[in-house]
Amino acid sequence: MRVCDDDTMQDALPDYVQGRCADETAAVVRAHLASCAACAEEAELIAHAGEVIARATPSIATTRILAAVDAARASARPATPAPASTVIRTRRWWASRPIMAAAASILVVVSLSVPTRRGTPAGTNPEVALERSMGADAPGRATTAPGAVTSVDLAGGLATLSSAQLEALLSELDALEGTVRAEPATIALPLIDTPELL
Amino acid sequence: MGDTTGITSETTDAALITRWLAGDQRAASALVDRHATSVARFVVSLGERDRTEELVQDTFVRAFRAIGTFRSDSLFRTWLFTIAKRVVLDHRQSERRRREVVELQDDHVVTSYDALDGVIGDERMQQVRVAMQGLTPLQREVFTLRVTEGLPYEEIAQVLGSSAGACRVHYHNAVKAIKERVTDASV
Repeated sequence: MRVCDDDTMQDALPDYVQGRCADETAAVVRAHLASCAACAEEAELIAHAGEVIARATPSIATTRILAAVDAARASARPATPAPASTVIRTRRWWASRPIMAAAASILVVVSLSVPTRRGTPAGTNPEVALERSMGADAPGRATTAPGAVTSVDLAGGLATLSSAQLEALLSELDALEGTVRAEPATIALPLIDTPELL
Repeated sequence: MGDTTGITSETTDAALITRWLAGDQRAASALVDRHATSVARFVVSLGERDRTEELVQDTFVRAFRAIGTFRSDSLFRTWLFTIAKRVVLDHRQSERRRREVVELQDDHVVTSYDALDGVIGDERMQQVRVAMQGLTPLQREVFTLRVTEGLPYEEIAQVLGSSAGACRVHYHNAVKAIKERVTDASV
């Protein structure tokens, strides 16, 4: 197999064979090919290879491509925007921020209370135990207002509460039966008034 | 009669893209006419002759959908080749999932490559065709982009996610391999 060491000429061959060279470059390559059998052979192979690929390529129906592009563009366009009220109605009631926050708080408190509850002697009424163990102004005392959920001063963290206080808190949570009693009075959902973003 | 569309062969791809974005459907037509055959040749070189039209179509659909991300500092045609390569790989991947067959990475396997099988009467061209079948997929891709599309190595590197130096080596290895096989076949 013949070999040529002129890298510049070898790099120029594909463009020369396919007629992409400038006139001056083409003249230089042509002169080289006249005296270099290796490059002449390579140029012939490149020409054949280009022909093989061209013959193997099926003709393409550009009209079908354009139709597909148009269809894709049409489907990507936003349809008539839905009214804001429709959008709001489709929101799940439990996905509102206040309800999610309340649910998360309950989960945290309940999970922290489990070890304490496990340690309570059988048959002990937590509410009775709370009354027994807490004075009126005991820190962290649970207070219950009519119609309101028990609130406990957790400023010092759950670690400052006694077992009885935690039990009392747990009882209050049990009384909730695992659900939030009522919807918040108002749910502030953002109105979507920018249809172009839909 | 003069050209009423204002689109000629001198109109740049960037200008056509701007016109298409402004709602000129003829600009899309001009872009497809200009580049569809090149993309088809590249797809064939990737060994997907049977699905060429489908893959070329997907390439243009994907390109026009993402045309807002096209940066005019690279050539539109080079960008199309990059998308075509991605489209072909995505199709192969989804096909593999369907068949639940695990294969090696494309670059590491010499696939059966019958895309160039055609009625080629000339004996020399038959030898070249057979020789090209023995190239690795990466060599074929580099060879096609360099020979038939005239891409410089820097742009081939962009399309294939490689370096210009590596692409140059792949090209010369491909030429050497074709030469050797044709020489062997001629003896």
